Amino acid sequence: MNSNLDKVKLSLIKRKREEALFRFYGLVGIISAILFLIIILYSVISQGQKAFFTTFIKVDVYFDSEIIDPENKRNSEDIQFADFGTIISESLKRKFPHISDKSDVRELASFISTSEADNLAEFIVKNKNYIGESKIMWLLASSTIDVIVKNPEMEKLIEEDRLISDKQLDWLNQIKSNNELKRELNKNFFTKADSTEPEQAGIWGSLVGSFLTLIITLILSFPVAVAAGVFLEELAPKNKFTEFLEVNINNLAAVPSIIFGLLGLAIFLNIMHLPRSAPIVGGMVLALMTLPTIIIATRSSLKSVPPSIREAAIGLGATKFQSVIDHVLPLAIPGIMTGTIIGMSRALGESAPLLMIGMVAFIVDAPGSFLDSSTALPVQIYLWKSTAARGFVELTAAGVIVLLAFLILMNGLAVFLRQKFEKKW
Amino acid sequence: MKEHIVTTYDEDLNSLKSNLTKMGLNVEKQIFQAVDLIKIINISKAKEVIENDKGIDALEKKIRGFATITLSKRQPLADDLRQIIISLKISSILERIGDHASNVAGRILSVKKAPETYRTDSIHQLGILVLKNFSTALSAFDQESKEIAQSVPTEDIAINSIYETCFREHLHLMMEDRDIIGFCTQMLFIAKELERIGDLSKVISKEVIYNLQGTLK
Amino acid sequence: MGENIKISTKKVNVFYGDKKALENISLEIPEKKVTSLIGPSGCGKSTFIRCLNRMNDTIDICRIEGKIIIDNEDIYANEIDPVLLRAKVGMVFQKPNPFPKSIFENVAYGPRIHGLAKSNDELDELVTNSLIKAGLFEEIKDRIHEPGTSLSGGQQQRLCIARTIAISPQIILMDEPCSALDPIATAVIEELIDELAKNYTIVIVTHSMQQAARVSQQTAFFHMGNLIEVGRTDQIFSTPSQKKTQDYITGKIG
Repeated sequence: MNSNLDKVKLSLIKRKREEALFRFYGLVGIISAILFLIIILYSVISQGQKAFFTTFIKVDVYFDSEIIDPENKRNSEDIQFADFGTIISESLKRKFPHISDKSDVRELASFISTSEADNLAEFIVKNKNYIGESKIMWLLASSTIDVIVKNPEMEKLIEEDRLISDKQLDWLNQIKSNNELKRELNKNFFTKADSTEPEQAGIWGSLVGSFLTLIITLILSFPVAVAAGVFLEELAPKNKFTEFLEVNINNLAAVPSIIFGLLGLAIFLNIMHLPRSAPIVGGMVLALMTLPTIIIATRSSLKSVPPSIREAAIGLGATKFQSVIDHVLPLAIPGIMTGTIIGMSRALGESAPLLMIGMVAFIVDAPGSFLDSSTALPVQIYLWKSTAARGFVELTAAGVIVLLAFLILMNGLAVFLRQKFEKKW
Repeated sequence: MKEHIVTTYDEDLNSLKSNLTKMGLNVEKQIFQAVDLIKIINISKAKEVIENDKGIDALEKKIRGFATITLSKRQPLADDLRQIIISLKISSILERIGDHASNVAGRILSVKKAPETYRTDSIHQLGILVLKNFSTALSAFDQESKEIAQSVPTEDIAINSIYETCFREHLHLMMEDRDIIGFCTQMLFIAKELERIGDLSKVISKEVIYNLQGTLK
Repeated sequence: MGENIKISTKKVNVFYGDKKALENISLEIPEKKVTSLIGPSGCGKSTFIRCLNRMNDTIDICRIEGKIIIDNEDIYANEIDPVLLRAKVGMVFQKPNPFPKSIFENVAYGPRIHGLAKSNDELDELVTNSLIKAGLFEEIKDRIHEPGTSLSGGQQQRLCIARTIAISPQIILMDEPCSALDPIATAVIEELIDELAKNYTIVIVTHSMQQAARVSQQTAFFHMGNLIEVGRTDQIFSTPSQKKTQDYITGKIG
């Protein structure tokens, strides 16, 4: 008897050691993962949050009536097309009166975003009383200035590497010391669609695009997938054909997403002639991609419902279909929601299939309907990353932050819904 | 006999049977002694028989307790149940037979001595027959034999008729010789006890048949 | 026996694929009495009882030969709808399996799907009566909308019984209804069976000989897929006619 206990004691030491080692590895893995996560998040957020703010320069704008409305007709259409760019550059010149050289004037004018000309035009059209008057306004700085202000370490670079000339740097420093520079929330980022100028580019277009696309994806994939899962698992006969079907669905979940894009290109665009780059096509392609994931999740959570519940319903005289809909499906919902979350998250982040169907175009407006051309969040981020202008660097990171936020929101909603349906048996 | 899956169950049932058999043998010995006393009156032997009856009563109590526990422990059915039920019945019958044997010895004690004029041997012969039939009933139980059991009631008929003969004979004796009325009355009581033992042996054999086939014949 | 026969099986053979589970079972179940099915594990008694309400239909590899006649109809005939059959023949399972819904909903489900109540008031009454008949109403009347799974084991089983009788079946099948319950809950169910037998035909599978002896009037002994003996309960348990029966009920090897 005693020798048995001794043997057990010996083996116990070894077993405990193995377990401790395993736990240690697990801990190391988790800590490394958390570390990496922190690093990634830090770099993205520190870079991206810069894009949420933008630089404004205080300018005393003189609305020269000679330029705006020489004939004093106060005609809105004429006023609209007046040369407000000159208004701006003239107003800037007044800040630095000693500048006269044409190239210098151009360099100074480049401080302000080109969009401000149109903004001022709109302003004057609505407030014609300002013609001939001055107004102190905070104008949006151009992207190059914005970049320098956000990344002060660039000032130390030599003129060739720095985005602005030495002269411009001087002027900038003067403006700064006169407190004529401020940083404010970048409304453009949240309200505008893509643009060639970084300071005018926004995420709104792609956000709406993604949102519309995902709505289509959800509407198309969720009901079809759940119904298919229910049918295949509960109601279809079990034979070679249905087994073959199951293997194929499982494989479809692993197919590279770009294949679905090719399918969309070939069928939805070339054969069905649906509008290119539209959320409806993007949604359909992503729905095809998401279907297998949700079907598999549906089947596996249906399988996990204990057979005793089914037997009870059938024993009472329910048809197989009734027993599934009334009792089995409600219990399977948490699992189905989990599958849906996984599927939709993947759909949100996929850019390859969308590239194939053309949602990569440069779209300056947010889509107004499911049929308008649009782009999606991941594609937008990719486009910004590929653009040369320095100002897009922060925008790319900001786009990633928005994507992550969208993802967390979407998953949060799904988790909430899953909790609500969670039943104990 | 087919064994139970739980071996202690078999052990319990065997123990019950062996205790009964032991009690039966003890009672048989008592009857033998009592019958012998009819022929040869021996005061100390008579006292012994009366004393031994206590042991028989104790055995009956033991068997009853054991059967009760077995009933509650095993919740027996079918043949097991019948076996335990007849154990209870037979043990109580044996106890009564023991009492009757003891009563015979008691009568002998009060008689003390047979009168000269009493010559008949008939009651002693009755006793021998009763003893034999009792032994048969006991064998029927021990060997679980229906044939042996069935012979007991048949034999009992003969015993009963011999009892009737004894009775009439002693009535004659009492009418002829008034001095031996007292003695003869006691002998008649003894004959009655013997006749009762005969009846009870018949009951034992009937219980054995019940156990073997499930219905009383 | 002088009573009406409710269920009559004639030479029923049941196969799971190639394996034969029941051989030539011919058994008659009398009306409004309790019939118990006893036998060692794997002897086919559960398989048999599940044939009576065609629950075995849900098992693909299960095949049945022979006739099972209830009220002069062969329940395996082509024109018979098993769903309809199960409205007539209810079942209570070994492990209590209430739906993860309220007590009320549990009992109301059957009448709902069969359209037995025309109004909400009628449904309420039906549910209440079923719970009363199942001996559960007093205990739960203040919490009838709480989940059925919050009840104790014995209460859950009575809930399942209430659920079954809510659709007013004629026959109630019970597959070891007390095997998951403690002795007191078991006694409550046995008392309930006594009451129910006045109005329903009951067939009960049980592992406990004593329970079969207590609740049933007729007992059938199954062994290795064969029906060894069937007869009056008091006879089977005191003087069975087959050696196999006797060996089983007395706990001898067999």
